[in-house]
Amino acid sequence: MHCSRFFYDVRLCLRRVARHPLFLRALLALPLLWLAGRVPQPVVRIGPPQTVQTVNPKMGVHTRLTDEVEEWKIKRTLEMVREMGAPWIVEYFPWGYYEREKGHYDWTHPDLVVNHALAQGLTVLARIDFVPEWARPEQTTPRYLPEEHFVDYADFIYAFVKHFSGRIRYVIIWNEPNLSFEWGYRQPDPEAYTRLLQAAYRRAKEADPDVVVLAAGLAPTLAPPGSEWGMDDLEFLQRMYDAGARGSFDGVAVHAYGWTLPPDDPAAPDAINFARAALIHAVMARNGDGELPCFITEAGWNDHPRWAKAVPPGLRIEYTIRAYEKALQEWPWCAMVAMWAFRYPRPARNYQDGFTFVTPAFTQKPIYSAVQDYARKGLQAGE
Amino acid sequence: MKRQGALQRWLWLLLALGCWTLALLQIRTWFHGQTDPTWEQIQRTGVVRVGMDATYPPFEVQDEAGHFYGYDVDLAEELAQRWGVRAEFINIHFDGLYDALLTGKCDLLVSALPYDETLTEDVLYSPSYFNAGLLLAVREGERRIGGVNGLGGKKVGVALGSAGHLEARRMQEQGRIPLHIVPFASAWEALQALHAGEVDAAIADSITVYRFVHDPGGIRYLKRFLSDEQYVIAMRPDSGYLWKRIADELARMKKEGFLDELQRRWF
Repeated sequence: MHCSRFFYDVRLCLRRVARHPLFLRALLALPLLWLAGRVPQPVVRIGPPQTVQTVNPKMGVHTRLTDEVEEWKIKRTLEMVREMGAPWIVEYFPWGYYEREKGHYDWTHPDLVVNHALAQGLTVLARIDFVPEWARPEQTTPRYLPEEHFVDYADFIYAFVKHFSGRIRYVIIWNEPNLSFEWGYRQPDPEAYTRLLQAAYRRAKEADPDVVVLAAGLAPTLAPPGSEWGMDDLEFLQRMYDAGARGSFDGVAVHAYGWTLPPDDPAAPDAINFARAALIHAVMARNGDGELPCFITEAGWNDHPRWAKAVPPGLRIEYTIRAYEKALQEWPWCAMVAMWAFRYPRPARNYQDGFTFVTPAFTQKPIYSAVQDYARKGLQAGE
Repeated sequence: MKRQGALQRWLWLLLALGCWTLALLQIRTWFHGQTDPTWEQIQRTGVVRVGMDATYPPFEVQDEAGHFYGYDVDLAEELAQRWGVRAEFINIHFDGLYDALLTGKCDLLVSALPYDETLTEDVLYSPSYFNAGLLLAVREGERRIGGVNGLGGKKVGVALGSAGHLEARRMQEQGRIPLHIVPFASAWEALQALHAGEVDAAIADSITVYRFVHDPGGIRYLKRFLSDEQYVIAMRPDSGYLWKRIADELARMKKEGFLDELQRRWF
C-alpha cells in the first residue's frame, strides 16, 4: 500500500516537472552544459613524423618562434621549413622566459616548439641567453650577466639539457658576446665569456654526455681595438683560446652575413663577408681545434629597398643558394648553414623584414620558392 | 579712510598675485626637474644624445670621416636648435637601439624607427613625423586609375620580393583584383618602366616614389597610402616633458612646412 503510494507520488512529481515550461529548455541545454564542461582538446595535433626531402643536408634556417603564441602558427612555420627542404633550425630559447624564479622551470612553450620541430623531421640547435631579472641588477638589460650568476646560467643549461635530452642535441652558449650590446652594454670580455662557457659546458655534460656544446656565434665586426661597442671576432676567439677555452666546447657557432658581397668574395681579416666563416675556422685550426665542426647559425643577405647593407631581391636569391651550395661542396668543416630568419611572428616594419623567407601571414616570398626549387632539384629523378 | 581701504585691497591683490606667481614657478620647476630627468640633463649639459643606426639612407648615414647626415640627422639638429642645445649622434646597431635608450646610452632614438605597439609600455613614442608606407604611382596624365579598384586588367610594376610585390599579390588573391604583376629588379626600375609606358601603374615605398617624382618626374602618386609605416621618435618612459616638447615641435614643424622642406631636401 505504502509502496504504490510512493510510486504514485513520484509519477505525479515527474509529470509536474515534465509539464513545467522550463523543462524542455533545460533538456535542450543539458548537452550544451556537458560540452562546455569537457576539458578542451588540442585543436592542433603534432601529426605523424615527417622527413625533409633535400639535395643539401646542410641547409638550415633560423626560426623565431619564441614569441609565437598560437600553436598552429608554430606548426605551420615548421611545416614550411620542411617543405622548403631545410633539415636544420636554430631557435632562440630565452632563459628569462623559462626560469622566472630560481629553480622553477616552465617548459610549456619550448616543448611545443621542439615537439613540432621533431615531428617535421627537423634538427634543433638551441641558442640560450637572456638573463632573468632575479639574476641581474636593476636597470640592466637582459644581456647583463654578473659573474656571480654564471653558476645560475650553468644550472639552467643543466636543467635545459636534462629536460630536452634525446630531443635537442645542440646547445649554443650565449650570443655574440663580442658586442657590447650582447654583453649588457659592458666592454666585451673574452676571458669572462670563457669562464661562462666552461661553467656551462661542465653542467651540460653532467646532464647529458652526448650533448654537443657550441661556443657562441660571434658578430662579424671590424671594431678597432678598445672600441666601446665591440671587439673584432677573430681577436675575441683567439683571446678565448688564450684564456683556456679549448676543451670547453664541441663545436663553434659562426655568424656569417654577406651584406652586399657575394658568397665567393674571398675571406680577408679586414672584410666582412660570408667567407669570413673560414677565418673563424682557421683560428680554431691554429689552436688545435681544426677537427671540430663549425655551425653557421646566422647568415644571409637582406633585400630591403633602403638599407645600406642590402642587395636587390634577385641577387639575394642567387647569393643564398650559392652559399648553401658552397657550404656543401667546399667547406667540409661546416656542418650546416642557417639563414637568418625564416619568419617573424609579426612584421618588424624595418629592414629586418628584408631577411625573411615568409611573411608573418605565411605568404611565400620569391626566395622561398627559389630555395625550395634548389632543394628539390634532382630529387625526383633520384627517387 | 576710504582711500586707505582701497590701498589695502590693492596690497592684498598684489600679494595674492605674487603668491600665485611663486606657486606657478615652483610647480614649473618641480615639473621640469622632478618628472623628467632626461630633459633636466639635456638642459644641464646643453647636449641631446641621439641614438641611430646610421646604415639607412637617406635617413641616417655616416660618412668615412664619421659625420652623420640624412633626414633624421637634420630633424634632430633642428629639434636641438629649437631647444638651444647641441645634438650629439651615437651610432648603434638597430638591434641594440632600445636597450641603449633604456640604459641611458642616449636620450632619444631618431632612426627611421617604426612605431611598435608591443613596446608602448617600455618607451614613449612621439607622434609620427613620416610615413614610409606603400604608394600607388601612375603616369602624370593618367586619370582612369583613381585607386586600387582601377587596377583590374592593368599591368602593375613592383620590385621582385618587395613589400609592394606582396601587396600586389594580396590584391590579386584576397582582393580579387585581376591585375597583372610585372616584377623588376628594384622599385626604381618599376617606376622607370611606368614612366616609359611599359606598365600602367607601380607600387613602391613612398621614399622611392617621392624621389622619382622629384627627379626625373613624369609620374604622380595617389595620396592614399596602401600601407602604413609610421616613423616616430622614442624616449624613456620617464621623459614625459621631453615627449611634450617633441610633440609640440613636430606639430610646429609640420605647420611651418619644415617637414615638407626636409622631404624636398632628401627625397
